[in-house]
Amino acid sequence: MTKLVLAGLLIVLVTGTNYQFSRPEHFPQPVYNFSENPLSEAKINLGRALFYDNILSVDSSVSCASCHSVYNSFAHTDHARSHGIQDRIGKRNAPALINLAWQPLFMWDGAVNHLDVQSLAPLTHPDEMGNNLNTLLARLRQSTLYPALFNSAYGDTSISSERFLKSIAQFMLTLVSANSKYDRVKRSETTFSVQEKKGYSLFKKHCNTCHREPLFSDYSFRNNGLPLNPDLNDSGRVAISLNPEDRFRFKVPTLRNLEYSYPYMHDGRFTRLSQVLKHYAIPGGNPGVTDAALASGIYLSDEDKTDLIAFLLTLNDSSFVFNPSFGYPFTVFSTVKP
Amino acid sequence: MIFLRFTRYFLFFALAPITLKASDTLFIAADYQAGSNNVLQVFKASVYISNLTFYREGKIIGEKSTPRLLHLVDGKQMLHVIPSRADAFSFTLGIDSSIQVKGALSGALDPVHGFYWTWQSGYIHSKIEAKLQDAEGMEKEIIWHIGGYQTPYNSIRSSLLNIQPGNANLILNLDALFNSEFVSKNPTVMSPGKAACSISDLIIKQFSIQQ
Repeated sequence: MTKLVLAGLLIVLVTGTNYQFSRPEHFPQPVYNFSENPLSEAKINLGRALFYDNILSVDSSVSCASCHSVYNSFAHTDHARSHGIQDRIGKRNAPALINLAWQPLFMWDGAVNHLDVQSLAPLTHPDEMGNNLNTLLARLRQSTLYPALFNSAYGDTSISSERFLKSIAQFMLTLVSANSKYDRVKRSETTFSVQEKKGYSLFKKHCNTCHREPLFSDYSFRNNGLPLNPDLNDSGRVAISLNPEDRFRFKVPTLRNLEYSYPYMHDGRFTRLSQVLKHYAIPGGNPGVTDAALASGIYLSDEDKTDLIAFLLTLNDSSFVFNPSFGYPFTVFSTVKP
Repeated sequence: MIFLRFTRYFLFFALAPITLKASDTLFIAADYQAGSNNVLQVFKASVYISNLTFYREGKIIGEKSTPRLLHLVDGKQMLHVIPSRADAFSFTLGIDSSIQVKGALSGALDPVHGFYWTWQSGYIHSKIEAKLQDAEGMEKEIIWHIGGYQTPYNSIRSSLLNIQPGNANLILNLDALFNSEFVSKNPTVMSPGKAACSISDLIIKQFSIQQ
């Protein structure tokens, strides 16, 4: 039995205090149905504790935050593909967890249809947490921490999968990034530099079809012409949709917080933005591309590339990655295994 | 082996006496004969049943849409009280797509039951696992975890069956399933797709009413 000893907890336990989800005014309406999982401070705090707790993995070695670090916009910098229990490597790059209330489908291939059930995938995947729901729920019920947190959140100590999943979803729903320089320009609080303005024009001409403002993704699935990595043999969305047209299509990722969330692409093959632009900026088109938006290719001069990157860097939201509400929730955290 | 071949096991019990009262009951059970038709053992035969609807002369006189997860190897189970003078009923094998996109659910739809795929959203509506023996005496395992709700591989199926007054048993004939030529070609199916849809077609046809 694992006994959790908590000498301090930053979590504020406020049963029933509602959390007002505020939509940034230049954002569309979220797709998440908040009426079926009304946010509260206590449920968000519970979800945050779960998100950061190694108890979720079968050998208590990794947490959600192991591969989704707040400092990397909840992605995993320096790892093309993240390592789960026993340093097992998966086949895809850990995506940034931001603005999830606006995402209709999750995972690079859209395998998951609702944020509430997203956590089941890494929880049970043998290369990630390798756990199962019943084992985890039994652990949570026996812990010295969670019955009290569930009681604070739900009014009794019952720990169910629905409560567990919805609480983690609540924490993830609060991860709204909308305070980059781009956002401040949209709110007329500042202006772009001349170079950023040029980059923005290039962005709107060449990138905005797929990386659509203001979320910087249309959340569609597209084949951008990346050659297949034969070691991974990842054919993308076709494995889920079984539609041959979806072969090598992956979800368009958001460009927000790019500087924090490298490496790039579904398998993390590019570590620098310049490599990404080099991939796209092939006059006449990339031979592997099947997406109509990229069929005729993109021409970017070296100066254009510099300007475009200057704009892309305005999508960094430092207030998001240093937001204390999103960080590690425990002041002192140790595990004792008798 | 001889014992297995000639011993008959039924998972449903003797039918209750026929009555004309409103308390007539609809039960559900699986029917198979261990030892016959080369069925050595059935490990699992579980299904989600939803949208139970009772009719009289074509008009709906009672319904219960709530999905139920039924483990048929556990024996005969009650499905619902049959409304008075019902002459037919329909049901869905599986869970409506509108429910499958609702996120984390509880009760019969709680993922702890092991009928929710974690690698891809959606419920398994039929889990059938058995050990069979082919004509040459070779043992073979069948593992079917059947589901999928998205077009074009929506595996959810419905059936409309007539009933007479009295208690009724909705029987899933596993022998017929295992005798299908499809079994030898598709012994393991555990993801949505064409095979899952074909197996759903087979399963729904093997439900019948015994009274």
